[in-house]
Amino acid sequence: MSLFGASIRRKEDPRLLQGNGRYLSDIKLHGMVHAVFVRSPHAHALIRGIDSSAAAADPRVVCVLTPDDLPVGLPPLPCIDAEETTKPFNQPILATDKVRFVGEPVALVVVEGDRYIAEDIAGLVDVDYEPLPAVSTAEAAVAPDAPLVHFDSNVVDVLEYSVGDASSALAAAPHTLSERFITQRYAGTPLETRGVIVEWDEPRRGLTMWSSTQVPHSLKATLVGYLGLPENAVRVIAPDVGGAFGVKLQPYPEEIVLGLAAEQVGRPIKWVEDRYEHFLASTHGREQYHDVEVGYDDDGRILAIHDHAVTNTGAYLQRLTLVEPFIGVSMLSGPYVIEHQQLVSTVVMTNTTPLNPFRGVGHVQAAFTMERIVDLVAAAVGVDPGEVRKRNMFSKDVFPLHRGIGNVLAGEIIYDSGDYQECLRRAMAAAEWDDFRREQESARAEGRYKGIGIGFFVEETGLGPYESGRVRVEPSGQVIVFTGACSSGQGHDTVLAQITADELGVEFDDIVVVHGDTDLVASGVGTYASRSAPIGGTAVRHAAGSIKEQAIRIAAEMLEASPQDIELIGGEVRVKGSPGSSVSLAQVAGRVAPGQPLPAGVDEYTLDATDVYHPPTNTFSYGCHVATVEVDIDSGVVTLLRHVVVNDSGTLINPLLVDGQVQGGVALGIGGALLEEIVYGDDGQPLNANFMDYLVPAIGNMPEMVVEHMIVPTPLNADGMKGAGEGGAVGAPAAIANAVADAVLPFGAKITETPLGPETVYRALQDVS
Amino acid sequence: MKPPDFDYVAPTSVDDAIKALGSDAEAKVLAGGQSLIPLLAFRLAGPSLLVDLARVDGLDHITDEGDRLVIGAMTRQRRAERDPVVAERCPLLVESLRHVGHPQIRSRGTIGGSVAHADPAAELPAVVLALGGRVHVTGHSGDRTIEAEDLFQGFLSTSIEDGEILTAVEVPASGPRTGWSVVEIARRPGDYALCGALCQLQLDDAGAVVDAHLALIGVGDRPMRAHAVEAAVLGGASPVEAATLAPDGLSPGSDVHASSDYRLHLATVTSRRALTQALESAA
Ligand SMILES: Cc1cc2nc3c(=O)[nH]c(=O)nc-3n(C[C@H](O)[C@H](O)[C@H](O)COP(=O)(O)OP(=O)(O)OC[C@H]3O[C@@H](n4cnc5c(N)ncnc54)[C@H](O)[C@@H]3O)c2cc1C
Repeated sequence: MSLFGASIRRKEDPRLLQGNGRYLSDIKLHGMVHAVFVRSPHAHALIRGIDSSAAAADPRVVCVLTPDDLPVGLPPLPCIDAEETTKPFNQPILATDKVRFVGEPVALVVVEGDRYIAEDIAGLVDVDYEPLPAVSTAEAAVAPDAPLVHFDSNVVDVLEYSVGDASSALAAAPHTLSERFITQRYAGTPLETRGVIVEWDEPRRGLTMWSSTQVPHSLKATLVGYLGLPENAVRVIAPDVGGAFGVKLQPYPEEIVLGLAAEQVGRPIKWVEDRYEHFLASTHGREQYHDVEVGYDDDGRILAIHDHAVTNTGAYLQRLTLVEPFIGVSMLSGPYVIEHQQLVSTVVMTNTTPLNPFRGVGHVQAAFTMERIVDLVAAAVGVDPGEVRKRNMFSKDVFPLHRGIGNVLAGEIIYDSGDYQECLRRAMAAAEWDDFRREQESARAEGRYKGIGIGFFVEETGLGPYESGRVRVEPSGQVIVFTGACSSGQGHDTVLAQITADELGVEFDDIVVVHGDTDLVASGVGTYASRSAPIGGTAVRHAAGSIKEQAIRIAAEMLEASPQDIELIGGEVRVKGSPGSSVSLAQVAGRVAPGQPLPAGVDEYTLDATDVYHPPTNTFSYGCHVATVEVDIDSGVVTLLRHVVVNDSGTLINPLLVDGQVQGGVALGIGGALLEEIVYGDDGQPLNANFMDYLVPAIGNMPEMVVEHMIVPTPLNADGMKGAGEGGAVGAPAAIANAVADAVLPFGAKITETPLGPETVYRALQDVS
Repeated sequence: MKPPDFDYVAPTSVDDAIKALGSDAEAKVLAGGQSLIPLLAFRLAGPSLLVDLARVDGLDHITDEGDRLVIGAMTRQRRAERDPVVAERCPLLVESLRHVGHPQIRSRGTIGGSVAHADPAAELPAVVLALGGRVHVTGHSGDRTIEAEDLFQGFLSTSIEDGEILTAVEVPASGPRTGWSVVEIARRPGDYALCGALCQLQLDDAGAVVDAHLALIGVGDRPMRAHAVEAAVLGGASPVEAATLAPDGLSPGSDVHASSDYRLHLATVTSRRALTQALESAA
């Protein structure tokens, strides 16, 4: 039986669950010294001077680096999806003359000892700040007399897309409605914060950097660029990574500064971000509101939409700042046929921590906004929300569907495959929609308010540009797989081994997967955007396929048969139809081991193949969440009852792992729907930068969950895989918000924002006039 | 998030602990550390000396004194929660303990530490206040007893003096036909409540309320006893009527979790529910 598609347990778990993982913090090198960053306590201030003499005089200090100590002309942090119109509001590696958010790094302190001492000494670095008025919300930032975060204006870009003629269609529509929908700022908050160890490697005249990152190759390229070192002088290693969610998908200023300090310090330097720093200095996501007007007819068909989204992207452009504003509007219509769309996305800078994509980027806001609208339309025309969705959805024979919208980074949006109506039908059935309606009715009679809500989403996954996969068969027949995708806990080792085992018929346990080391893996992009299975997995599939071809060629000589007559099954290479005539894969590998003449037609002493897979376009996963809730009308407290997901990520390599991805995503979505919010005061001071006040969902917040899979394989890659890592987070807030809105429908309360904490729901109930 | 430098001692007797405290004006007592250690990590507190009570003899006990229950300051919250004597003598305390953080926290956190810390949203100070309990403290000038109503002075502030140690917490044992209830509105299970009501009622044979205790948490700078509500209940008011008096005299603050107005509203909601449930459990 093939392992491909089987719910087998994870290869990595015995090691990780027994405490034998090797996370950044576990690494201790001889002679290691410790670093902390001096960070801005102000949201906005001029730096008049930095006096580090008291710190530098402490005998425990190894070095202090201020902006003046950095090489002159160091370019700021790049933004790779900037458009021509995007203003160059990029982040300097250390703040030079001005700080623009609380937590911005200003100086580096390296000490002998430990983090405790480093913090004491960081307190001795005297930065002379002249505070400036700050701005923390997008609305305040676009006011005429708002303080300027940079120069010119706080609007860093306005993106515009349109299909059809929305203005005319809105004017002609039988009905219209307008509303503002607000998604708050929240963050990935991985259990393991960021962390870096850098060691100068004198013989190599270069360095090794261990970093808890999703993108070791991109970090290597960044260090090569900033440090002016040759490529072969920089090695980046991502050890076990304890969660990332997008928060670790870019090289950060801290990594560059530590890289710059490495040679001078000459000893390994360790910096581990603490949770407070993490809230301040690791990127956030989401904060975006949508002002929407839709036109619809008596049947609830949505004819046209005009959306103006505004994203508070924080103080600086980051590597992928424009993804949130782009996806937020471009994926708004999701599964629905809306012929006329006018989409405007304004990107605004404030004195807050910068935004960069994290799990579900843009899609969360798009789904929340669109799904709330559909429910409002349904209520307005008096048709069941499920039925209104069906009327508006694309049918299953429209694929490939060109949406006529795209951007620099992701190309045109072309939906590849799916059956949205069936997904909706299955999710409503699994949620026992009609039974719940009856239950809701009888509960209402007792003064209890239950609600049910749908959150349908379509999600761009499997982003390019490429990923590498390499498979090598040792003379023993054991296999090593190298991947450029870099695990942050998802289970790469397991699924890539499943693909390889399937292709080569070797034992799962005979496969080792290597990732996260730029000396061992020549090229790679990393893990984000639900790309590792569809792109990384496909590269491995192709590489293993090449091994198979090579093996057949070698075996043909060994078995004195023609290659066409040879097949590879169950780790045996054999002549078709004569099972007695076979050699094992190990024998084949042994046949090309060095020290002997090569078989005819074979020119390498190795059984080794690499593929760098460039997908033609991206894959589009989708799913339908149905949440049921009960709302305590007196207090506004929302209790989740049940959460159903029917998800299509195409072919499943390992359903158990995809279930886990969906469940974890739903947990994050629950956080976004009910709990999580990074709060700033008007002065730009963070108000809840700790896990006591920033509320991530705990086990007690999780309802009963049902996860089912629809499998419509994508035609875009060999195995038909679409991304699976984010959909759970995308559909949940929309479904939960709709369920809450449904519960409070008898009171006419408007639900237009997340998180739906008790006071927010209570106020919505009070605001009904 | 690392504490600044401090010294540490772990005396084994109350006397030695008092001496150690007296030796340094910036000394602080360490009990379970569940509140103090985070304060140190954020450098919101910077004592030069920590006097750890973990090894001090005689502070870890649960003593049934008939009409009173006395609990040693260093008794872990988890132990009290599972103790049959506490369950019988002060079921409100057990119910309250179940709302304190999570089992891991309660396994380290102490009864005395919670009361001495005096967080306005904490359950244990409110239990002591509601029931009209008291605490025993010892200092270099001897022992004294502080009534609960005199204990809580403001935000994280009590009338325990520097150099004094809280040695035991005392609450009256509950009588027959007693009902109790703890009702909280919190963002997540185990979080400090946005607002909570802790209630204990006693009925006579005819079913009339003869003894009423209600304290509110999260609605001020300290736990608040709802005297007006108690009086109304004793006067025969229904929970719905009585609870409307709960916001009287309260002026809670606003923070990232809830506004002052909303907390006042919750004072009514939680009081009503707590009174109703306590009545039901007494009947
Ligand atoms: C995640 C989390 C959630 C929590 N949730 C809740 C909750 O929902 N409800 C709740 O009530 N609490 C909660 N707590 C706090 C917990 O109950 C603490 O245990 C308690 O507040 C303090 O007790 P402690 O023994 O840990 O004291 P410590 O933290 O050691 O000390 C607290 C303070 O009291 C002083 N002190 C301690 N003992 C004495 C003594 N014998 N004499 C004089 N002074 C003393 C200390 O000097 C210090 O100032 C939570 C804590 C955490 C970490």
